Order: sequence, then structure tokens, then C-alpha cells
Amino acid sequence: VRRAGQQHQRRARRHYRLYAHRSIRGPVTDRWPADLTAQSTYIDDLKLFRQQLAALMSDELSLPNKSKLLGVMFGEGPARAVVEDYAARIGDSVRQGTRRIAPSGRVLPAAVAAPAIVTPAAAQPRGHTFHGSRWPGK
Amino acid sequence: LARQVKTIREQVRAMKQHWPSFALAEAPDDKAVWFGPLAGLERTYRLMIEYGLPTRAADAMCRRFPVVRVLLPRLELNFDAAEEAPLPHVYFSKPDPTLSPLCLFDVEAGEWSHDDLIALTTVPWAADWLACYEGWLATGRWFGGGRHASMPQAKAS
Repeated sequence: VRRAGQQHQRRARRHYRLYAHRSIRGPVTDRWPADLTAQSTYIDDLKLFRQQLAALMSDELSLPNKSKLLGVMFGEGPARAVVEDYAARIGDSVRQGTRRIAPSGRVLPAAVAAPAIVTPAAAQPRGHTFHGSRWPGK
Repeated sequence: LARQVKTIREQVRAMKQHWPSFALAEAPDDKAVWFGPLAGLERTYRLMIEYGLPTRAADAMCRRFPVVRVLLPRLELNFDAAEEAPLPHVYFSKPDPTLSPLCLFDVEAGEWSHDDLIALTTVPWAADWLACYEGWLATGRWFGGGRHASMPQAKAS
């Protein structure tokens, strides 16, 4: 057991010497790419994925653009399904009056709205019905 | 209890308390205009809210109820949307429909009156609208419910 442990440590040190400059401190998967080219491709993919995640989390992109980005990352079908589900969940909470309103105005479905981050009086306004006129000819 | 029309001073005070990022642009005794940011689902919008006390010649929309317009980013028309094309729940206005006032409540059902505080009704309702609008932009479907003047009852979705 001790010998196996020592061998593992030697392997780990060798991996660290080879790949430490890649800014990956430890294995992020149990299967390393076969060679440095594959490793490089893998790291580039990870960087791109990180940038895409950052774009999804930012408020620079509109929801339609985030939907397109999700389509690029995971495929159009799953992206459409998840965005529809998200929009429906928000819409349901608005329609049923169960959402809360953050001080910024952001609508928070009841499940994620912590009382501490909402303005007490304006947080849960009374119910209302969207109204309005139709586009001429519709 | 008798309901009492809120004064402009009361409206201004409540807006300052609950939505301090909204700037009061003008406020004579019988009218007020605010400009300010309100977050949608993914983006923050700049809104204008215009409101005036009721007068006998109440032909101006803002003297019947608060008028909310989205200034930036401009609202997008989608004529191909499966529901509510080309823009959901607004009072379509010319010449620029993207500046149409938002329809936030059922006027015929009296869901808003002059004794209501804009800060506790209109602004959060506008936040609701923005959230549903972004969902509509992404999916073409309006999930926030509502009805149009010709419809007898609120629809489910």
C-alpha cells in the first residue's frame, strides 16, 4: 500500500510539473486527455465554457440572446425548453401574486425570494390584471 | 372608511421612500413626472412615470391613472410572436409604438384609483410587466395573464 501511495505521489508530481503552467491545480476529470494537444484543446474549451457562463450570469445580455447562447452550449431543444420553463415560472408567480419584488424591481419567484432582500411594503403588491388595447387589425 | 385621493406630495414622498433611485423631474401641485431604473429579468430598463391629479377635463391619460413608458432599452415589436403580437399589454400609441404606455391593471375593473400610492402599485406592477415582457421576447408567449378590453374575463395565460 505504501509503495502504491508513493507511486501515486510521483505521478501526481510529474503531472503537476507538466501541467501546472496551465493554471489547472488538480485533475478536473478522472480521464486526462491523451496528450498535450488534446489537453490544450480541452483547456480552451473550458475557458470558452467559463466565458459563456459569465455571459449567462451577466446583465449585459437580454433573455433572447441568453436563450441563443444556451442553444449554442447545450442544443436548441434543451435551451428552448429551459427558457420556456423559466418564463412560465416567472409568469405564473406574477399571475398568482406569489412573487416578490426586490428593491431593484427584479421579480423573484416565491421559492427564491428571501425576506431580507426585498422592500417590505412594495415587495408583494396586491394583485392586478394586465390590460390594454390590441394592435389594429388583430 | 372614505377613500381619499392621494396628494402629489404624498405620492412623491412614497416614491422617495420605496424607490429612491427614481428621480422626480417635475412636481407642480397637481402633477409629477419621475424617471428611473427598474430591473427586468436580465436587464435594467429606464422608465418614465407621469401622473396628474384628476381634473374635470380629464382627457389626458395621466390624469386618469399613472402612465408608464419604457424609454431604454427601447421595447421591441415582434409581429411573429405566437401570443400578444406585436407588443403585449400596452395602449398602442402613435407615432412610435415602442413608447406606448404599459397596461398594468384592469381599468374597467377599477383595480387602481387615485387613493392608491404609485410606489406600492404602479411601480411593482411595472416590474411584473418587464419580467413577463422579457419572457415574451424570448419565447413569443405571454405567461403573465391579463385581458384585453373586448375580453369578458381574465385569461389563464
